[in-house]
Amino acid sequence: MRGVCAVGERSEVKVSRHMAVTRALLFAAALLLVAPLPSQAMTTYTLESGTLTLTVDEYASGRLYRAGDTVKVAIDSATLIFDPDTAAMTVLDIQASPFVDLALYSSTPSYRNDSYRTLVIDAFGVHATDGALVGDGAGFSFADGVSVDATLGGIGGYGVYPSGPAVPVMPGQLGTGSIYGDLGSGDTVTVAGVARGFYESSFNDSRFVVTGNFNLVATRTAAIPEPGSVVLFLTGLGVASLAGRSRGRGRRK
Amino acid sequence: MTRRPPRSSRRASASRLLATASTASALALSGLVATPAQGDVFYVQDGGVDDAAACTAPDCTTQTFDLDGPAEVFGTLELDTTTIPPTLGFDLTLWNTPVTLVETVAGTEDNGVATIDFSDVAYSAAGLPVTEMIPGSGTFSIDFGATASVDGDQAQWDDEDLAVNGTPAFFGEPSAQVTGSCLVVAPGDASCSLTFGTDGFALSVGDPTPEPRSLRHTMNLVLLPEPGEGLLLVSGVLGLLVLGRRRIAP
Repeated sequence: MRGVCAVGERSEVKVSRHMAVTRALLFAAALLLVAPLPSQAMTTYTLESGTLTLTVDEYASGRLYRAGDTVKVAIDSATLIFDPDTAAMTVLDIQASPFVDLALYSSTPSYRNDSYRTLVIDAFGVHATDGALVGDGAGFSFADGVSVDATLGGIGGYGVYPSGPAVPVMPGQLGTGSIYGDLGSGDTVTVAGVARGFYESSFNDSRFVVTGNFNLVATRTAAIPEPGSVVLFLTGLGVASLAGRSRGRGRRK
Repeated sequence: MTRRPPRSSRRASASRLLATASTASALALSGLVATPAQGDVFYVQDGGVDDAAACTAPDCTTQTFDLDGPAEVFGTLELDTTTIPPTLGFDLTLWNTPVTLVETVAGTEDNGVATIDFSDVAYSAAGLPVTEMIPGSGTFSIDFGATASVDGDQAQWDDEDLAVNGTPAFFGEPSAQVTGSCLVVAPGDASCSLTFGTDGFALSVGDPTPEPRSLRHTMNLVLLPEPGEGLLLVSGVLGLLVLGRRRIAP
């Protein structure tokens, strides 16, 4: 009697386990159906070559002044992520380390006040997210989610002002730009645009507008395909069934 | 080839403009002329073409010419925020210096051309739709697809400084792509960056068989406000008073 009861309990336990596994699998399948699948068309491009033309204007005493000669420097790195299927440019990231000592024009307020006569531009970066492809992929536009960073220092009559991150007066601006190349083909693309930051001066009452015109060529990085959710699910099922079989065989022995 | 007027004649034309404006303001004062709703008009105070290139194709992966040095620009821009969408117009002209493109590698002519000079170039557009990136921020970006007319004189020279391809000659592009943006720092003070091309901006370069080359001109401008209406009104009234006194005087 005791033995019969034990067999009955075992079979009940087996059935309940089987049901639990089945429920879990059904729940996972339902989750998979409900969860949005990631886009397969997301492509990442990185910098092949590019230049950044920097122009600086000084705003002081209610007037805007051109601060110095325009300088052209190489772009250090750039990452662009596109999703042509949803006409999105999810990331635009550009970094440059110009290390430029910009001699200020004698007409600028900073020069006249002898606050500083050289503006040091150590870094300039653009980081933008959630942009849109426009003109059938021939252009891009970012409404917000843009930051334009600069690292500025100065040299003047009172010494050297150490370089530090510039404090923005307002969020960075990234103007509508152009894209040449077929994003779906995997060939190189060229991207051009203009980014602008408006910063407080750390050294006097001035403010600086730093404008960066960028032109870059980018190549598609080798895509490592993400295993699809369905593939993962089927693999899991396969592994579970194999494990179940091996268990069963072990018990029979 | 038409030459750009010298600075003295620019002053003279400015005086004429001021005189005309004074008269107009006086007329407006008397109520004879209705003042239309207009946008902000800015004058170029500084800056010009400070980046340019010529490439073998619009994607500019192969660049054959680079800008030799900055070229000043003068003219006006009008930003009209009273319309929906806001619009941008401009009438810009090269000042004294031409936009000179030189071969990227010295001694390696592109199809027999070492230098291209662009002079007396006018960049014009009206009513280009713009978008204020963040409402109230004063940052305006030109909507994609905008075009401008670019025309002027161009001359191509070889390494021996001899004219090539039947130049100097006039060139005109009615629909050059224009992209860029403006930041209105304070009422009347603005900084604008405009890029013309490469789409819709091309030139046949070289000899004996000219090849198409895509062009790009980028300008960064510092803009100041148009003289205030009040100032114009006062100057107009003063002008009328002076004229009246002269007439009254024996």
